[in-house]
Amino acid sequence: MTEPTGRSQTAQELVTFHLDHDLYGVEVEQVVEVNRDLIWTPIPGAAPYVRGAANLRGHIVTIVDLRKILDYDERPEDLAKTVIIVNSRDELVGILVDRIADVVEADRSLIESAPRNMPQTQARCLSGVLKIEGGLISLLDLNAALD
Amino acid sequence: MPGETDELLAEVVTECLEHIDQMENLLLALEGNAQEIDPEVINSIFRSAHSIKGVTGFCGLNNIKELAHVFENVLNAYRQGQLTPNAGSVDIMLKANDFLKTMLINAAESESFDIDPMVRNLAGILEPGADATSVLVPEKLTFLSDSTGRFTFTVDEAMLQDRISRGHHLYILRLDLVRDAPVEKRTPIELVNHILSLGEMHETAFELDLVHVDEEAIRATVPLAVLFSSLIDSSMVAGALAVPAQDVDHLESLEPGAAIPLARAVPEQVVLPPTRPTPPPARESKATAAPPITPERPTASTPRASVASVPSSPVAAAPSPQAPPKKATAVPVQPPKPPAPPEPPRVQEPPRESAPEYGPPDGEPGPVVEAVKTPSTVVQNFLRVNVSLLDNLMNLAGELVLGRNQLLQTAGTINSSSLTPVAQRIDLITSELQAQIMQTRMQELAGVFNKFPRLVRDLSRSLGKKVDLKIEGQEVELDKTIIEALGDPLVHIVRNSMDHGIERPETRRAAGKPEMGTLEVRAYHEAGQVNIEIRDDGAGIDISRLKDKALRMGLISPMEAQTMSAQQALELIFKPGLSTAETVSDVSGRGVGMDVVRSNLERLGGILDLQSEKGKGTNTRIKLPLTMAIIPCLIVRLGKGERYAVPQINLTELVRVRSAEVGERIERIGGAEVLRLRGNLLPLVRLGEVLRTEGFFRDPITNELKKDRRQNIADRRAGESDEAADQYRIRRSGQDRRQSTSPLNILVLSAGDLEYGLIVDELEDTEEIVVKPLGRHLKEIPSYAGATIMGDGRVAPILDVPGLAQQAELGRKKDVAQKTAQSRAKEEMAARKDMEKVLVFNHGPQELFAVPIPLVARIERIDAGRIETAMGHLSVQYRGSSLRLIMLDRHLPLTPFPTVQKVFVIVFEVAGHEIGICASTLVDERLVPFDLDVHTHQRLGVMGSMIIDHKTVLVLDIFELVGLEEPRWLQDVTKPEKPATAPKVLLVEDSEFFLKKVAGYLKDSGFEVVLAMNGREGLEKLEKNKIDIVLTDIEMPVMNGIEMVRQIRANPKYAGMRILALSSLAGDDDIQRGIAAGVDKYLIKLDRGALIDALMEPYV
Repeated sequence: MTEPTGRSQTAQELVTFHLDHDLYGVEVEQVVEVNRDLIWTPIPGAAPYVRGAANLRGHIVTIVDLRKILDYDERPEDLAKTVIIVNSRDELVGILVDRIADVVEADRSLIESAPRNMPQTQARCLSGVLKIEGGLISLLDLNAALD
Repeated sequence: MPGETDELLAEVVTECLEHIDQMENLLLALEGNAQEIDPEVINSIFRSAHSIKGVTGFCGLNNIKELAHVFENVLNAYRQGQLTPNAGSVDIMLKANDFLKTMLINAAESESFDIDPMVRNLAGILEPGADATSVLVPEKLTFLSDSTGRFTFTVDEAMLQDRISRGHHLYILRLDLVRDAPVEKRTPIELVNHILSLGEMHETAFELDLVHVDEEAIRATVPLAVLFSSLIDSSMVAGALAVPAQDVDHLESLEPGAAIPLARAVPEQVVLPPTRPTPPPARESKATAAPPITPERPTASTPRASVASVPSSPVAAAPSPQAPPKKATAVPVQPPKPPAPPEPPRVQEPPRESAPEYGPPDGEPGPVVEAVKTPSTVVQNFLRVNVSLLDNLMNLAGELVLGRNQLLQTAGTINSSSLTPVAQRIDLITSELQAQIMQTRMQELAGVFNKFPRLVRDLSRSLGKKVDLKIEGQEVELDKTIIEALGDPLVHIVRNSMDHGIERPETRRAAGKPEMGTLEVRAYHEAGQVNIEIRDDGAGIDISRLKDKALRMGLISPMEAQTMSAQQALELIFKPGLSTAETVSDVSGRGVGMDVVRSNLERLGGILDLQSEKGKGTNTRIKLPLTMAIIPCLIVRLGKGERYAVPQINLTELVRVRSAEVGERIERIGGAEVLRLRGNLLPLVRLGEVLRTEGFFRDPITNELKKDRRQNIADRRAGESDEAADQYRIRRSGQDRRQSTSPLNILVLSAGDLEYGLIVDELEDTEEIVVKPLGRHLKEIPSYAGATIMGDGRVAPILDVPGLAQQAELGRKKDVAQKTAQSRAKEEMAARKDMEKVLVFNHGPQELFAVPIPLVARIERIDAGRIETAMGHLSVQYRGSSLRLIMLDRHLPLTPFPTVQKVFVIVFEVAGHEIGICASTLVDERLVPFDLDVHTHQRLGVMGSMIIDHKTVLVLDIFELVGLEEPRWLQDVTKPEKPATAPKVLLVEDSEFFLKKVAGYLKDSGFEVVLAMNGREGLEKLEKNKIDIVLTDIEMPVMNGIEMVRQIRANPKYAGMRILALSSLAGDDDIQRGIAAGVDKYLIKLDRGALIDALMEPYV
């Protein structure tokens, strides 16, 4: 997670992941770890996108379903439970995603704002869009998405 | 030691402030009990003042020292009986005490304070009219020098004589802050305290010239001399103080030349071989005004061990009459005892800590160990430890407990003969360790309670009230965190009692009460919790005034004001913004109080309970856990599934109701289940239900997962959510008798004045759990107080007992009569969404039916004899035409229509025809939540059932009934000519029932239906699908129909979209609003024919 020295100021490493066929990215600095074997306890009464609470080495981590937040269809049952643990507003939150993809180095200057015609539920959660070879990475604004 | 100076100063200040607080309370005690002065009280104050003087002088805080000195003089006069404390003088003393406090708090600037006025005041006590300076200079001064001649003291001879006459020994101690403190692992302040614990410190002398820092030598010296008096025998004093004996001079008398170096108080048997260096020559001591002479400095090389080799001859040469040093040498084997004071101890008891208790040898080096078992072993048992260290320990202990729990669980499953005993041992040790660490964080309530005497005294003066304060249980201990957070709430409650509770003397007299009010503050242990009670015998809380105020502020409705119980009215005081005082005073503030007090206490895991009787007084009781971080909890389960932790503090008892007894012990009042427990009715809450009510719940009748409407309308927070819940309960009531055949586990829980039973599926063990906070997405859910990690590493939520009660709306369940009244009131008001007006009527005497009133065209009353039968159909001649009648028993399995004279005919208009349903009696017109049970009584012609007044009522489906009676009428409606492509209808409706019902009509008629539960969802669905017609409800959560229609109309993309609105009870205003927003047509929800017609309109 440490920035190697000499890297350009404009470079930004992104941890990328999939929801369906869409590629999303979060800044590597915000990512604590990727965890595939968390077991969470459902918490009745929580918002629909909250899957539950899990124990991460003694910390209670809220697990949220990003598909729900971004208005995707119900999560397929057979997906592996890949959780990206991020640090958001000084607490750990686990984001349930479909699949983890590569860590990508992005040039900040190439980040564009999200297209206008994007539904509000999604646009609200994005800080921008980055074109890469063969597709787009939607950059997740974690704090917005998790509030 | 520049770095250490600040630290030292901080410690000195802390130390002194403790004394100040103690002195304040003692002074108040003195004031409160002026007739019978307890000499011990004066002595204690004296000692405290003395300590302050000594310690501050030590740090160069001369202003403080001098004021403390004058202060002490006054106390000395009290002590000697020269003066008697009275209100006036104690008042001055208190002010002086405050002034000392101020100076201590600003210690660094204390030298710039002007102490003269205060000194003069104090001097005035001693000698009215005397000049301040005369107080500062004692009448007869004596100069004493130590045996090295480097230190000279100016002392009040009379005072020293006084000590000597009481059998005290006078010593001059030469200390070195560097040498004596760190070597003995004590801070300078501890050293001073230690000395003070053994006797009195009269003066300190600090010779700046002698402060020496040798750059090359590692050690610096900060020498300092102390004039010290003590009952401790000269043979033991060096050992007791743990300073080298040659640095202790024993002054036998104040006669010139009487001061001689102290005997090397060491028993003969420990004399070491003469290889040791010989002791320095006996030193001459100086007395009186003789100029100091400086003999050879004691050999710096003299190690501590060498002390032992020093013969005791010098003392023997000048034996003290009171305590011959011989004694020490003569009976070395005898177990050491505190030296008996030569005079009766009542004269002056040493401070309690100073009573020398002899612990086991503490590993002091050298042979002295045997003989000099010093009291220091006792005193030094106390360490000052940084709180963050304790916090860390606490956290680690928490983690350890988790680990232990996991280990036990693993050991339980593996069941290995070698692992089990180890696990058990770890278990025991962990528990013990955890308890001990918790103990380190425990503090006495005294810290909080000690504020009260002064507070009450000052308040009673400023309010002109007479109050007798009784404090009990100061020694009760609680976790530091709790103690710290407890101060403000308690002060607030005490202030309230003083301000609003206890009346003025004249009022009290008039009420036949003693003029002196009583305020009791009491703490005690009960069942692993700490209870604090604050009770006054004042005016009590005036409930009617409280209600008036709440009513004026709009916090309650007039209906509530009338129906609420006294205890509920009392609870109003916890609503924000209420203060019962007629005038706002600076004492209790502006009513921002009790709500904050309660929430603060609840944050500590405490429970606040208030009882008040008008004219008799108020009792506030607070229950607190001993500690917050680790709490004992009972683990419960729902089904085979999730575990929940219930804090033991809230758990009063467990009740298991056997299946056979369920019917007998569980009763139902209104819609609420109650348990008969020892003659009382305990409201019951099913954990599964309470938790699910927030999101989805499983319908107990249909067993299908339903979305709870409460969540949808939470933002509107009006009555209808309660109504829905009521309805849910009502609906259940018919079912549960059948359901409750399994045994029930009931946790009897208490939260404040609220007590209820929580029904859970399974009980597991009691565990010590570590409370962890939930993340921000979960924190706001009232049902949980946090979470914990179980032995298997999984998370389990901790239930919040008051929060659950709130969720279950138990406040209303408690008083069922009131609840009924309230729901009536609500019925009257709630002419809103999802409520449907129904007409309830009888077929036979037992058979109740209902029809939606919006569908009713009119009601006729006809003679039974006028009903005709033709072609198997019933009809009646009416206004010149024939009205078809339906007897329900023809289509439904019912008793035959009773023989009555007059028949009610409820007339409907369906598909252009009029038809009447026969009723024997009309029962009522009711506004009910129209969320029907569509399964239990499923049958063609019946829309569903609902419970009204504990009776099942079947709601008729007129459309279907007409279909049964005269299918031809409906043919052109039900089988519309399908357009080439099925029109897609977006149905936006938040009621599950209507959603299904209307969607059913639409699908039957060949429409494709897209469903949405609120306006926002509707807009989203509209965007994603190609919609032809929008059919929407108006009142919906998140976004209502009007708003949605406005947005659709504003979007050019949807130009020309046909929008129909559904309404159960469309008032003209609503219709106007709808039309204004762009609704094309209003329809009645259950008028199937009209609905389909309207939808088909464009396609016909």
